[in-house]
Amino acid sequence: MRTFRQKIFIGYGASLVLMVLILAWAMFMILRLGRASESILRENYRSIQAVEHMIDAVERQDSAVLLYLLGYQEQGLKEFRENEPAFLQWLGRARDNITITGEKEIIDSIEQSYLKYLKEVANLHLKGASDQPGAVNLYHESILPLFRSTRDTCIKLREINHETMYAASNRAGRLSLQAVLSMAVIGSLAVIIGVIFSLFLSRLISRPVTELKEAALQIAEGNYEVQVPARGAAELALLAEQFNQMAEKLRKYHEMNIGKIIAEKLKSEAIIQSVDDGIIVVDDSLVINSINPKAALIFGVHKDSLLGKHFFEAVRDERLFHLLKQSVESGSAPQLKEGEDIFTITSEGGSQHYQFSIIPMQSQAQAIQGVVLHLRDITRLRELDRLKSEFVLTASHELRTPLTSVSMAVDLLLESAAAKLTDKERELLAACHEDVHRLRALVNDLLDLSKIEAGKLELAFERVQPAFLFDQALAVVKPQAEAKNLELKLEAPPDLPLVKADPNKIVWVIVNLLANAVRHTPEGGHIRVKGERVGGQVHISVADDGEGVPYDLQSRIFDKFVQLKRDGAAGGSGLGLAICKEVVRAHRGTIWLDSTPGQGSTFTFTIPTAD
Amino acid sequence: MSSRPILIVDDEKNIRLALSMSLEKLEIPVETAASGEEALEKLGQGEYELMLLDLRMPGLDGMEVLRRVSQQLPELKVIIITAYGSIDLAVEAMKLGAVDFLQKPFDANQVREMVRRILEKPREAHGYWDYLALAKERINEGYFDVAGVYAQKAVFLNPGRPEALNLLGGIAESQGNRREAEEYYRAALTRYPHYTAAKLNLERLARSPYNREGIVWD
Repeated sequence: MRTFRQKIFIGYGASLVLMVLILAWAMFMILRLGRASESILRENYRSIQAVEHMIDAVERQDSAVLLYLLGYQEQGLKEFRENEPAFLQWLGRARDNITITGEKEIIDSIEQSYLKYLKEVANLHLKGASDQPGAVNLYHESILPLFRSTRDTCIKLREINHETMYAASNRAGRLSLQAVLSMAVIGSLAVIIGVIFSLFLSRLISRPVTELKEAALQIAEGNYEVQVPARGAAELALLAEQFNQMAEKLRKYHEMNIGKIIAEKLKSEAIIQSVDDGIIVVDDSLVINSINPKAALIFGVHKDSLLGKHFFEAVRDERLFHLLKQSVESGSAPQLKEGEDIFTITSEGGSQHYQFSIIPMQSQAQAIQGVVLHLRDITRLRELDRLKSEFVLTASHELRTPLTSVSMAVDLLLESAAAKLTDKERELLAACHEDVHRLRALVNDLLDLSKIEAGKLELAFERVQPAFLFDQALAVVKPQAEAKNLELKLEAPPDLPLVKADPNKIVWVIVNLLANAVRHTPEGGHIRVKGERVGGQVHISVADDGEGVPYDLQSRIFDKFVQLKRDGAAGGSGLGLAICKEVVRAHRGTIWLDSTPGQGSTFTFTIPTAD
Repeated sequence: MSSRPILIVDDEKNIRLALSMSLEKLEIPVETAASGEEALEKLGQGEYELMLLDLRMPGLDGMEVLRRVSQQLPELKVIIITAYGSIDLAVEAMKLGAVDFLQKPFDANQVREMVRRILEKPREAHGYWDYLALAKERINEGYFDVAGVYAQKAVFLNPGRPEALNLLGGIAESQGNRREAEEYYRAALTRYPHYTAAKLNLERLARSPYNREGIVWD
């Protein structure tokens, strides 16, 4: 197989050879033409030149004869003799230059008539000296016709040479015409052959390249089955072979990927279909891509009838629609406050509550592929929560009457009977009194919390100096802290802005946090109350270096009845932090905990500034 | 102090016992009744200075007893006993003529304090201004619901005066109820068109942006 380079070289070589041939032919034709013209000039010109000289010589001899007859014998004779060798010399030249058929015969006849002429002139000379009239007569009778015959034959020779020259010229003309014609024909042939050859060559070269191009386009469009025939120049054949290998590898890679993608899709589809929560997947124009049976059940429609429909068409809920749209546009999950992420469907059978979350699907290129809407049925949870609250409320209501009587009985006993009791018995009664009070506090806290949770917290907002809140709270806790030898420190810049708060409730929160800190910090520990401005909020924190909160409890620390289990020491009701959270929330703030077990805890909450 | 006995009406034996024992210290005779029927019977037989009446009882309940007593024995002072949080019942009872109310759970000292305070004055002395003062006291302590009961009682006693209505407006506002607050302030102004506190409160309420701070109590 020839290489690409060889092919091009051969292709152009062939054209070059053709050109060389044409050139050679042209040169040959020009040479032939030149040779023809030259021979005409050389041969015939010599003959004509000789003839001219011969005519000249014979005419001069004739004049010499006439001169002789007129009495100038000496002069005429001399002239005649001078021209005789000239004539013979030119005749000899003409004889040497016989080129035309018939020329020899004419030269022979010139020679014969000239020799006769010479003989007659000699006769004249013999007679002439004595016989003047006889000489003239002789001249007229024989010399003049011989002279004429010689001259005419010479002219004839000239004519024949002229004719030959003319013929040669004609022939040269014909030859050049022939050359032009033949060159034109051969040239056109060469051009046609060259064009055909070029086309063939270019096709020969470009066809495999074009095939490669087509194949590459096909692959780009995803048709990995394409194969390129390995033909053409060696390099192209190699290229085609490698291209085929590449296509094959691509195809395998593609198949592997498709397999993976299909497996992934099947997996996620199976998960979506099997989960007990409602899931709807929409694309970036909110058209439903995927929906699971539970979601279809939630919206009371058939699953397949929703696919490909616009979300709003399927789920006529404006809030969800706007949240989804917002999520698609912003690329992030909507920020929903606690309690805002509930979606309720009311039907004849009662209300169904769903907690929803919206998760945007974002590719690495930051483009939003769509959004997943996840609906969790919390109807039962809510119902349980309601039942639990109801139970707590009823239980604490029912607890109050016996608690009141026990409380009063213990109080009265402490008032009147204490004197009659032994020290041990009095101690027992005091313990009873203490725990009854704790029980009362617990019941009251429970009721307060129930009220707060029902949204019935009463707040008297004021513009308050944070320093006032700190002082109030610290004053309450100080005796307890001193009893445990704890250092209480306040860190608050004097220029803290006024806050908008119900001072009683916020002091209660700080006291609660401080009381917790005192309770959970060993003797000699440190408690720090800190206030600082952060944007439009004041952050208030209570930090201790006590036992800290175990990690497993941290996330639930603000839930009801969550408290640190400790040996011996009397704990709180387990509601303090839950109430703190509700109070802070009613102030439009948040509360959180940072704690490392064994190193201490920091409780921080925010309240908005007054301005 | 009066020598007429105090009647304690409660279906719970232990409460009756605890109440009578805590009141013994005041050196006033105490009698008890275990039901509404028994209470009415005792009230029909003898004279009592004061009755402590539990609202929630099986059979004839406290509210019904109160209703009958307020018509038949207008001189009798009644302190009702309600559960913590049952404010609506307390207001209704106060309007029916109860002079004060106790919220369970309570302790012995609380009961003694209240009984002593009430026995100090004749029934007629428990008037508009007394309840107004009580209401303000409770507002200062932050007990808005309790304060509300006294203010309602004050309005009930003297509907023509604006102060208690203004207090009710302030309490409603503190509890986040603007519309109700506005109605109370307007009601106060219809009584006394030049009552400054209600006027200021109403102006502040109408101002935009709304600012809950700075309620004028009197």
